[in-house]
Amino acid sequence: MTASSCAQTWEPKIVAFLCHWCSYAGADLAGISRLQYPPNVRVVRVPCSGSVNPLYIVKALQQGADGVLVSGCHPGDCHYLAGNYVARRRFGLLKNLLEHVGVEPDRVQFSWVSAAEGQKFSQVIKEVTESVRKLGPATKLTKARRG
Amino acid sequence: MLEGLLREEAARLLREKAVDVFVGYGPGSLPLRSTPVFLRDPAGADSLVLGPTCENNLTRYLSRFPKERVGVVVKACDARALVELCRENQVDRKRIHVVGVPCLGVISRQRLDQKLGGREVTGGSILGDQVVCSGHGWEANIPLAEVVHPSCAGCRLPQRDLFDVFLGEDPAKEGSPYAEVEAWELQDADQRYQRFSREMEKCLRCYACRQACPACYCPECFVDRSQPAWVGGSDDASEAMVFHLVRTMHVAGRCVDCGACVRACPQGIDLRILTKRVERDARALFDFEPGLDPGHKTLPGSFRPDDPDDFIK
Amino acid sequence: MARFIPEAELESVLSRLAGPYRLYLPLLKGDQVEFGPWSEGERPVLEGNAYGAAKQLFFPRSEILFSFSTGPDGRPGIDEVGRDPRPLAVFGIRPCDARSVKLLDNVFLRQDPPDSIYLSHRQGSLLIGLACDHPGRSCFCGSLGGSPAGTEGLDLLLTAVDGGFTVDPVSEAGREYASGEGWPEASAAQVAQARAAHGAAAAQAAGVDTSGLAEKLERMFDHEFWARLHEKCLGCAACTFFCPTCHCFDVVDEGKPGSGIRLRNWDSCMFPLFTLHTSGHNPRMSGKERMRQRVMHKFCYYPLRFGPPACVGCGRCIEVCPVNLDIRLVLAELGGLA
Repeated sequence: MTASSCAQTWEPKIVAFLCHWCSYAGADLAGISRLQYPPNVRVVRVPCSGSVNPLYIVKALQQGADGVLVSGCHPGDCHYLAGNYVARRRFGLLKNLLEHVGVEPDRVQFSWVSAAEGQKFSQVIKEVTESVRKLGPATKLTKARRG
Repeated sequence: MLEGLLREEAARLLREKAVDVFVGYGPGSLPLRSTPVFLRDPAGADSLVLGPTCENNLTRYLSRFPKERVGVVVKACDARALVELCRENQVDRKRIHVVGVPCLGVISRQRLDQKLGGREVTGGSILGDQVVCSGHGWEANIPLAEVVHPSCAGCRLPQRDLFDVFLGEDPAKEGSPYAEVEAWELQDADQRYQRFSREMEKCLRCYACRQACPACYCPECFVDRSQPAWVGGSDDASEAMVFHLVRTMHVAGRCVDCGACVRACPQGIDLRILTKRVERDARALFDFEPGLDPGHKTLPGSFRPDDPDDFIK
Repeated sequence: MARFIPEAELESVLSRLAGPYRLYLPLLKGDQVEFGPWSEGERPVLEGNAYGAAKQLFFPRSEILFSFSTGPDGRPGIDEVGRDPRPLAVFGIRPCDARSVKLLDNVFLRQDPPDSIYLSHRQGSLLIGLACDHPGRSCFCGSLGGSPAGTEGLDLLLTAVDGGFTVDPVSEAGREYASGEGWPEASAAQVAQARAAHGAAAAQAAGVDTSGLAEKLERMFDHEFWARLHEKCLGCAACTFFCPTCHCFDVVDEGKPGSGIRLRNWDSCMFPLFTLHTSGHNPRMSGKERMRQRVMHKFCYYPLRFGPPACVGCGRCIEVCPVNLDIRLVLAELGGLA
């Protein structure tokens, strides 16, 4: 395959860590409401956005994800009361740290999507996919493919 | 004079059996080095040394003595680490006899080497604020201030009630603790990534940084997990990136910038480029400063309802 | 017969070597001197020793052993990794590092079958050593049967003299290479200067008496010494990674569905993971056992099996140790124990 045809067929691969209690249900609602959104996300269901270790995000980028989305409950709505508040601190620091070492800011994104927000979920996925598509394939933090 | 006071104090503690073991610094085997010593006999106290060669953070060793009463020499940076260790219940403050000592800053061997253009130092001593060193057919006097470790800039002492005894007065340290981070930020994203990559390519994953770090006390580090193996053992630079980025996040709010990781690194990797950014963000975004106030909650374990979230969709 | 290479000829000597050989030599990289591949115009650093040991040329930190994949017919297949078929030449290697290669040979080649990957690096290799005129502050090769002008493991030994280098052929391969090069015979004065330099350096690199240590250590497994020894050790692997004779490795597979590679990576006995069993049990549960293993392997198990201790006295572990744990002092203390 030539480089140009490769560029034409390239589709961003995005790993989305979705909180079981809200964003995952939001995705479900988007589905049953037959809302269209780009098929570029690979969903990983997690108990809470607070359970998303920075390691998961960095590792996803290393293993070839072009973008990572973490989505949890709106502040105040956490099933575990404060998981998303704790996550918010952590993600704020991680986002800045990744930018600090030269990773494009849009590679890693965050959102609050409730179980009732199917519309917002589809919108978020559209936005994230488009912004990652604009960046092109990820080259930073990625493991050189060998073998 | 200070060394004399320290030796007296250590000997007294051991003689009166106020502590079972006293952790301090003894003379090293290389010029301008000292080495951690573990004294159990008051007679050994005469070998204790103090000064800019005491580059190790001795609080790293405290968890090795879960049952014994331990006397320990702490500089301001070590004291900040101790504040965090107490907060996180990693040491039992009641078992520790904290001997605070003043510090002018410790020598950065990397800086000294650069200053000397790589010439090998075969003899060295500290005379006041001068580092006197010599090698094959040369001698040089270098102001200590020019070779102190970058982490010593703007170093602060935690609250005095941490110490059981403080020998002398800790001098105020000048300089901006964020100078390197600010210089780093003048580069654009690709330059930053290139430099970051170059640093990471040097990493051999000997884990000296982790082992020297007082905040890295996990019984099992994530890089040592084999199921799943989060970090592979190959020389691919991305593996080192995963390790160092995630380690930086793990010590967020707990790293007190003692610089022990950087001084331990045999490859001279400047890990403070990472840790200082997180430290500065924690101060700016969450008004959090590690190592000073034992009453504080931990940074990653706490929150405010109005923490910034303009980066979240 | 000692020959002579004038200083001005060095560049052309290197350039002739670089054709038939993969030529590596000590180069300045950043602040450090490291072994690297030669390219036109590059000047080797001929003072001091390389920061990283020369073992990495024969036993790299991470090396692909082979790759594997599932073919179109669904059958698994193994692909050998393509390698530069030219043998390796190392110019400016110090006698301690050359000797360490000899010690690694014992481990990787004195077995049936020999380690084929190591052998592929070692076969036909040409080690052109440079005698030390100023042993470093941590050097103690003289304590372990080596010398700043030692020839063990070398093919040729160079010694810096006024205006160039004297060349002493050591091995048959070295002799052949030297005669092919047609270097002129060294003058009596040059030979005398080289011999004098060897003598002066040897006097500086002695230190600790290690005779009879292996037998003594054999009886010391349960000695209380080990509990004290490891106290200050942080448990990092800097000493083992910089050691020219440490050779422990880990073999792992990395891959994705359908294909992958098998890697050999450096490992270290100082890591808890090194001995962790699948059951969760770790036979070397603390730093004490791990430190004991490191000392025992170098100064007891290896010499009992192969003769010399697995340490060449290069002093790198002393230089890189974050807490200045000095192996010379450890050996001296062991020597003094009853």
